[in-house]
Amino acid sequence: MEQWQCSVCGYIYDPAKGDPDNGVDPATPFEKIPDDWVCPVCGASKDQFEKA
Amino acid sequence: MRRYVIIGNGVAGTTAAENIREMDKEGKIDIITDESTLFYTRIRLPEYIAAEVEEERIVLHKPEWYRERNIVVHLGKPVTDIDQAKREIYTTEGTTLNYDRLLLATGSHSFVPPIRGVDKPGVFTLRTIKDAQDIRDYAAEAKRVILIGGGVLGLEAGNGLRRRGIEVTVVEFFPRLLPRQMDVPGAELLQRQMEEMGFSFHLGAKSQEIRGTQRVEGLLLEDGQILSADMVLISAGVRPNLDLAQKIGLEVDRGVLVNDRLETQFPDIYGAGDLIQHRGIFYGIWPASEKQGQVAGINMAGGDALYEGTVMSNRLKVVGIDLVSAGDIDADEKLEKRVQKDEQRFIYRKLVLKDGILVGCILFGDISGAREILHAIENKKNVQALKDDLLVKGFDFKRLES
Repeated sequence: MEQWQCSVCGYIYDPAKGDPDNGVDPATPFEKIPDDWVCPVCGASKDQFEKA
Repeated sequence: MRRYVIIGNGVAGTTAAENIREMDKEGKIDIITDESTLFYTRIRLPEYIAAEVEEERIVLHKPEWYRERNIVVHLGKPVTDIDQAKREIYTTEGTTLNYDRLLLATGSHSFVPPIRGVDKPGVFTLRTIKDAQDIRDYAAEAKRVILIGGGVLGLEAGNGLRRRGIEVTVVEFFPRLLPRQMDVPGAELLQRQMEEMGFSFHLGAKSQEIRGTQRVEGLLLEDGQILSADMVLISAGVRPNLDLAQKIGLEVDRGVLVNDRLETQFPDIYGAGDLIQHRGIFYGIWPASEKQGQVAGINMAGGDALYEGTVMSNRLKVVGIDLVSAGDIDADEKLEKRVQKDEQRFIYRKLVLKDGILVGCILFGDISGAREILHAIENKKNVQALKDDLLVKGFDFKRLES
């Protein structure tokens, strides 16, 4: 599964880890994250992410 | 054909332009700014001054992005005045633009406290990419920098310089770091960890004068100590850019006042981003400005959207360390609490209780369970029966949700 990076702050979404603090379970591919999810570091919207 | 003018090319102005174009394929959209770079992310400027990323990575929209959307950007053009009767705006360059809908998204600037010598070469603030370029150039020759102000942004910038091998000394008026987010033991732990990284601190210290004949040579503190340095970075918060709004007579408190549609008191003039105050709140954070830009853009294009506020995140990264701080952190130690502290691993976790209800937390260095803990605080959950287990290793935080 591919990692995605927040272009606003540089945070990397690692699908292996997910983002459990914000309701995204480990092993969730980026494409499957809900559209209203935001970057856990800076709060930028999901469409600000690009493939790392 | 409707004419839209947006003053400011930060996240609020750019998001507004994008949303206008989605709704109005024909209209003429102009973004005008005093900055000389296309839309970029200032959040990554500390990495830029550390020379870890280049401008190309920080600039978020390339010229194609504007071309594809038929949005014209005018760089390097400060707006000097607006004639509401003629619906015209003027710049120092003599450019005139006409508008039917106008968005003020002029952002904010670094606050510079009145310290003698702040105008000397070698004194910087960090807000724009231009600031970052100047800092990066100057830092090439610098060995020691003094950071005036120990907030999150300042520490981040200082950490960028430290990674370039520059000695960083933090001078902070408050007696502890991050006073809003941290109590005394938490702040001490953060400070010790940063000292191990190479930072030095003068807390509870007031800056009196920046010394140096040609350029910065040091800082005189009020107690008479002189700290030597070749560079000073002031990080004392931001203030909205209100000059233009005030010039045209808009009502201003801390920021320009707007309603939930992000309309100012004047017809067809909207406000979004760091310069506004919405329901009494000045945000100054990326996600708020992004959302405001979206709402303003939709409304300017004839739609109907409301901005109802942005929840301030309780989660921070301080010099790479995770920190969650929320609710009443009981800095003056009056309430019941549960604390887990691991000085070797730099972990500090504190939960604050009032009559069995979880009212606040500090999670530093280990933010496991943050989501459930924040929910419990928000829902004023009674955790009386669980309170002695909450910080025990292996606690299943799902139990807080039931």
